[in-house]
Amino acid sequence: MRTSEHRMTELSDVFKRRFNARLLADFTDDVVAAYQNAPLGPHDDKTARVVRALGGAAIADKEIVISLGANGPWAIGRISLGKPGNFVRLADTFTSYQDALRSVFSIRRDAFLAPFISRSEIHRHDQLGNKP
Amino acid sequence: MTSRPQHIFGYSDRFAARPGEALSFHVSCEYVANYQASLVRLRHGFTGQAGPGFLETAVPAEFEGTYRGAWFACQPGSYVEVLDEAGVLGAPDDFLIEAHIFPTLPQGTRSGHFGAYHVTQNSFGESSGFQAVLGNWSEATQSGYALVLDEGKPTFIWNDGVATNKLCLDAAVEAHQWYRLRVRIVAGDGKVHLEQTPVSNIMNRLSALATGLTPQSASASTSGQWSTSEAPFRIGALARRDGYRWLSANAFNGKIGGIKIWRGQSDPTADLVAAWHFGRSSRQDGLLLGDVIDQSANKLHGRCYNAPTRGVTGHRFAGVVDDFRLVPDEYDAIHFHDDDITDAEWPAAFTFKIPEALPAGVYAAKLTSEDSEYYIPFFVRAGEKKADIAVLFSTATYLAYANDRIAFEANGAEIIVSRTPIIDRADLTLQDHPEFGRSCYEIHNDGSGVVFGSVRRPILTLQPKHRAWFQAEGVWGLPADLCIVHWLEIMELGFDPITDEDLDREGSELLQDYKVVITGSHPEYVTRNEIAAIDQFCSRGGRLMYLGGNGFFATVSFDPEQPSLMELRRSDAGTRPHQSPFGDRRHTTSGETAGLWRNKGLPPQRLVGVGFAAQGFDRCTYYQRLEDSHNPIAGFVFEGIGADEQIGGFGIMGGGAAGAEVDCYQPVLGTPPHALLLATSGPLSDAYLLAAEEVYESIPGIGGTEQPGVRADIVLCPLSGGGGFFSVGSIAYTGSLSHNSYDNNVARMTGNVLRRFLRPEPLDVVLRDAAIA
Repeated sequence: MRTSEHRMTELSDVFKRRFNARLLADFTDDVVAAYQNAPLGPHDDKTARVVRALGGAAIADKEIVISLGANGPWAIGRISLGKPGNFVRLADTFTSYQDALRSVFSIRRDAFLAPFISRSEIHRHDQLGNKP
Repeated sequence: MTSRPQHIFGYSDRFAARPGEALSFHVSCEYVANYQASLVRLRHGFTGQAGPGFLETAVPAEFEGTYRGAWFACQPGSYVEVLDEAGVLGAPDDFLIEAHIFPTLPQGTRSGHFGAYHVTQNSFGESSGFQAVLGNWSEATQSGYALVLDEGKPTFIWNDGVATNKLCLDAAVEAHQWYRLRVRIVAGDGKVHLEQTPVSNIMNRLSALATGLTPQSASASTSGQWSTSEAPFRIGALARRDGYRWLSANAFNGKIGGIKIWRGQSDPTADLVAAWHFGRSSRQDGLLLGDVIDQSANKLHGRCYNAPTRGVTGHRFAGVVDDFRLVPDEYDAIHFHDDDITDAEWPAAFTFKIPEALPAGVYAAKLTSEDSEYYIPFFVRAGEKKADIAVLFSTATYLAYANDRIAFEANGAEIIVSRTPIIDRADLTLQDHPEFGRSCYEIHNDGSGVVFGSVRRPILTLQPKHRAWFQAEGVWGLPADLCIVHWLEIMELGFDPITDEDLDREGSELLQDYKVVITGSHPEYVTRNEIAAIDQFCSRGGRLMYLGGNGFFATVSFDPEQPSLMELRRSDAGTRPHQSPFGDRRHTTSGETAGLWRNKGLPPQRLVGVGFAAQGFDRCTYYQRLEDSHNPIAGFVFEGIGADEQIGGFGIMGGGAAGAEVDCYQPVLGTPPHALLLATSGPLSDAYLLAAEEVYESIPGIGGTEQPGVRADIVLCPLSGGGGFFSVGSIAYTGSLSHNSYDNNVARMTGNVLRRFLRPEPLDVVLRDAAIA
């Protein structure tokens, strides 16, 4: 039997398709370059929109930065319920949190673009993004 | 040595004590055989190289020594426990039990988007599928009886001396609907009858027409024998034995009310065993605090534990009057949560009687083992001899933010701070300890907002080295206010600490001997008494330095019978992380309606000249001087500062003194006409958004680059009588004081103001000796 939950999911899917289409259109090389140049901003409207779109994703398994000392280094992990600290740390460490933020952006960018572009295109974006 | 991570946790019974008074400290250890306890004076919190680093000074104390590490459970789950010394409720022989319930999480876990931050997951894990409405059932001994929801299905469980029996209805109840449950135990025919009847009510999520809910009933045989339970009779939870303590078990999520128990079936009115009325108060003022009244002749009164939410609408709520004191029958309900925790009730590890000679200040019981460290901060108040300066520590705000877990639960955590949050390893420890409870910014397991904060549980965000995830690992709460403490030390000026609880309780008399009162960096939550006390202080010649942002913003109150408990409900207007349902927005500890002071006739602009304007967490900025800064009356403020000098383009918090949460000059909301507007913030980005209470209808373009109201302003206001205030309107401000070893223009300007404020001459008198700086 079709429930309210099914209907809400349907509406959510409709919105997601529209949202992702806009995000894909906005996710241009200049946006990637702008973020990598200044992860803390300020950003132009289009870059800010892309950053918000990625940052507003569901919290489950989302990337987060962790500080490992009084003055760094920093690392990235994913929020993962049931794991110690509800957190799974990734391997890389960074000497500045801006670099950690750049890496988070790259991870999300790759994940978002993967269904839409080829592997070589992702590699090109990585080059552009100066992935640490 | 063990490979398991060592942890020490603790709390004190309250935040502050005077010389001669004693504080108790409650400690629990994980994999720690022994720990050392010592007394330290806290001088500076932030550990990074951008400031002076973490600073503490050891102070000899009687409690100093080695203690055996012991672990104690911290068990969330609120309930009412009934004092039944005569054992009237021991066995339900011939009972008719009636209760009304409004379940909010009858089964499963919460789902959906909750609150301002879009909370979508629960870091606490699953809630119980077995939730107690009332009874004394002991799971361990399989004895007693209880009315429960078992996977959402109304169920009566009992042991007849032979076996455990369960009588369960076929269908689960729906969330957010009122039901009447009845259990009849008929001794004569050896039957137990259970029935459920949907109750129509304005607060039901669905209209009566839409639900299609129908009554249900079931019956079962019983021997008429009852196995006696040692467990206490509780409403909203059961009890489980843990040493000498009876902890909460199988706590309910939702409202329970309208409970009556009769004995005998032929004439139910003849023998009323119990009739708890959750809307009635035993107090003259009608406040609903810890005591619960039984209106039957048996006087089986109860007591609330872990602060379930009272003053909530019951099954008879008509939707017209929203004051529980005026229509108590409509408020015959309590909202219980399985994650409520306001008193861990750990035994005292040691006590500390404050020595007469101990100077007033910020201290901590420092607890250490080989691999762990924990501070229990507290405030030593002034004895008979008072300093000229008092610092009002924002303890209500500390409690509001206590154990904040938003970054792990909310999709929008990253959106609100405009960057991926930067957590600390202590945040992971907090995640491993859901039992320490939530902040008042969060959502309970059942989707309702958290409205109580308490001192009596471990608060990891209160650790002096803690860094908040909001702003590039910046300081927040106590660590931010320790920036003021160390700055005063550098200035070689003593001070007396005051907490929000102290000021609320003692009022303006507490302030009368001080020349200057300095606020913390974020005194967001205050009581009506506090606002009145500060207002009186300034009107009697006192000088106030408001060194923060988003201050004097929203209503809190303290339980008059238990000041370690703070209440913070949310209204339906303005900036808020969540909101209480209609009818539930009145504080039971004060009778105040919840909400922003500006919406209750007391805008902060009237008190301190500026009020909340915007928040953003990407970067902070400097202040630029305005025309009033060159007024001779304000001359002392800028001694040693250039006419065009930017002020505070540096600091621990986002690289500037102006930012995070900011306040602006706003005559329309009460900034005094003669207040001098000294400076305003530099450019703030579009990550700074105009406060919701300024956005009457949804409009685009509310960011800092488009809205002139998005700014932090510095105001100086002399008042008649010689008093006055200096307000900086920025949370980030205190994080700039220590820049360049305190040789900077923020420290200079703040020092100029403090030295002048300590002088007796009225503030509108221009001093000619220029001897201030």
